Amino acid sequence: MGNIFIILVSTIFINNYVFARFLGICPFLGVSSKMDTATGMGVAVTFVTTLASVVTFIIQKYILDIFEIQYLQTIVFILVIASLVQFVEMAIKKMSPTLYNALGVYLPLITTNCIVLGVAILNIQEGYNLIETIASSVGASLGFFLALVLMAGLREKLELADIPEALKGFPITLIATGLMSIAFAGFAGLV
Amino acid sequence: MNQTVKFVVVLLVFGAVSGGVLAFSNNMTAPIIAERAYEEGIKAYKDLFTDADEVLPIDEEKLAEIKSENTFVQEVFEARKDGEIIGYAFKAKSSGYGGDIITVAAFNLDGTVQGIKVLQNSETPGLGTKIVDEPSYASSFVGKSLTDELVLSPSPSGDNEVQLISGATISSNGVLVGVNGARKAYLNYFTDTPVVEEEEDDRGFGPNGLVFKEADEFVAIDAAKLEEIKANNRFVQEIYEAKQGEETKGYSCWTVSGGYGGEIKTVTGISLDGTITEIRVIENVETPGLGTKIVNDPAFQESFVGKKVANGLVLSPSPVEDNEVLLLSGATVSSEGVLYGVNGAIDAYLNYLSE
Amino acid sequence: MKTSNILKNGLINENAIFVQLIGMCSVLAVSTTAINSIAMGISVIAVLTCSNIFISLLRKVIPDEIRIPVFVIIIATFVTIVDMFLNAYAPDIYSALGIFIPLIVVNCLILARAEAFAYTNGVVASAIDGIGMGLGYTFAITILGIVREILGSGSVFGISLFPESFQPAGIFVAAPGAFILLGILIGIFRTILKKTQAATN
Repeated sequence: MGNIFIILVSTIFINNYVFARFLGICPFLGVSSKMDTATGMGVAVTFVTTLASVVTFIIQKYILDIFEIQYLQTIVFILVIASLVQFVEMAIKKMSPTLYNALGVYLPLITTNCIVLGVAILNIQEGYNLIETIASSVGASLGFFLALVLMAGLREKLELADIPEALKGFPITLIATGLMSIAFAGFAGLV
Repeated sequence: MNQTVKFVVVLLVFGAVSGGVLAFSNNMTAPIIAERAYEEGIKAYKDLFTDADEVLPIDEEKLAEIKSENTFVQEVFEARKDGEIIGYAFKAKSSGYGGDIITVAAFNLDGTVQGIKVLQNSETPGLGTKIVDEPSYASSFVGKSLTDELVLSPSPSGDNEVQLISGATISSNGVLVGVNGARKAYLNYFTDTPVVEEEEDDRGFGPNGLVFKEADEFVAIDAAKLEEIKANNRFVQEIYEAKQGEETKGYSCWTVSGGYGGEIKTVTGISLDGTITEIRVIENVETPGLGTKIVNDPAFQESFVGKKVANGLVLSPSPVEDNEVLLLSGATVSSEGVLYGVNGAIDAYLNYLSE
Repeated sequence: MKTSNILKNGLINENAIFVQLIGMCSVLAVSTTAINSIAMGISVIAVLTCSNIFISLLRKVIPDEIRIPVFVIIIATFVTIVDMFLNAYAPDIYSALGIFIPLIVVNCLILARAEAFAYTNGVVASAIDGIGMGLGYTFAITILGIVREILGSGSVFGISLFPESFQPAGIFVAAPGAFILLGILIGIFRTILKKTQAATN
């Protein structure tokens, strides 16, 4: 149980997937400008990541490892993720058309969100069992969610600040992200 | 329906072609990758054992046995010079800050570290990677003794202290855990001094429970009687009655006596039938590797089991009589130190507690 | 489209990193040293060009509705081949790039070019677009890598620039430095681009 806690703290704070591992940057930059889209994206990513990690874990253990075809990992994993995203897209369209419209093009882009594939691969590399895999995926997504929400709050304030022309928009967002990353680096050594 | 079938077929065709191409690539590259990994491992061992002219894997069955009880060890090789084994090299896997760390630890036959090398790591560049970039880390392992577990220190001076890199605590410890894991495997499988695990009495009685396994209750004897005993016996500290249900089965006696390096604390269990149940040396400051055999060599404490207390015990290099216990070679004074304590407990028993 | 236009487009006008702002994850993570950046850049050029060529070649037989999964299969195949060959023939680069080699498959840049260019253009043009975009990516990531290496490790391409006593600012090699420097670089690039475009108008 303690191990699960360590995994969660580590993935959410210490090795935060956005601020420390550089994954999920594109959607992070794209969606973090408004709080409600950030929230919707965070939930969608959490769901897809966790489900994808479980499915890929099972496939790795019972198919790839058994038949010694681990080199097919990349291609199999990404296809699983693409299918899951397709499925989630259809589900959201039915359940909440407003959210579907708000997320717009970012929804299918979850497929190319490095976090989903990154977490799936890292879970295998770290040799986690099923429970640890779930913990790590939930933690990674929550960390992403946290980063999104923090950034959304920050950017709403930045809109009103006086920033040099050249830095307006993404450059200042990146610099702000860098400062946030320094803050998160303070968590190192926590566990 | 036709459309869907067409789509599925197209996808399957692409998938199959892709799979085929990848299988082909894999056949081309996999052997090269495996070969390189093997060569890298051998090279690392050869770099550490500069005198060796041959590095060979140990027997597969022995490796399987080691790996089944030691989760750190991945590979074990023996280093030979002129056909003679001069040491062993272990490839250990442990967890670091950023991921797995693979370390090679080379041990000499005299129980010292020949050297270590970190082969793979995913530590933070500039911080954790100091375990590789700073030569002082690996060099701090050279020549250290394997008698005790290795520990980290900011300024390592002791025989078992290695360098703690500031700013890379977790990484330094990550490597250390792997090396200590290799140490255990080395001591347990390739030397006569296996690692003695810290015994813990799982019923919560402490050392009392260890020397008197049959008892289910320990009661301190009457305080006045203990004072009387202590006034006439300079070794005794505490005495407990060992009971099974309502019946007293014997006594567990704590003594302090003088050893080579300082005080030795021993707990002796004496059964009412006049024999030693077991003893445990619970504290000592004897010389590591020599005097500490009173704890590390199980044969010593085992030689006390079942011995008759009627006339006190004596030391012997080959204890056969029922009043003889093991005299450890190279640890005479330490053995004697323990014996004083045990005989002190026997004295107290014979004069005050037995019928 | 003229060849030189396609190349210029990829390199400058629609530079993946500085203008389109896609494919960032790998840029931030891998640019700790100049060598790693170039290695990553070359890998991306290889995958991007090959996938563009094949997708363009097969564009008539790829049904529109399932084009994305097919793109993904093709791109993933090339990524896996690059992964295997790096592991076999350039192991140092392989371990330096680490998980970001398989992550090339989700580099938005490659999927974007497949969709926006290769699927609707000829083979030669697609190949050149791949090279151009790849070069733009490589250009951006290498500049970032050089700056980070100089500021953070006091060297460039592994060659030490400063005397032993110089203590580089490690933060630039770490995560925060990546974000901040990239932000600044984008700002600089955009300003230069705007000024040159204003000048030509």
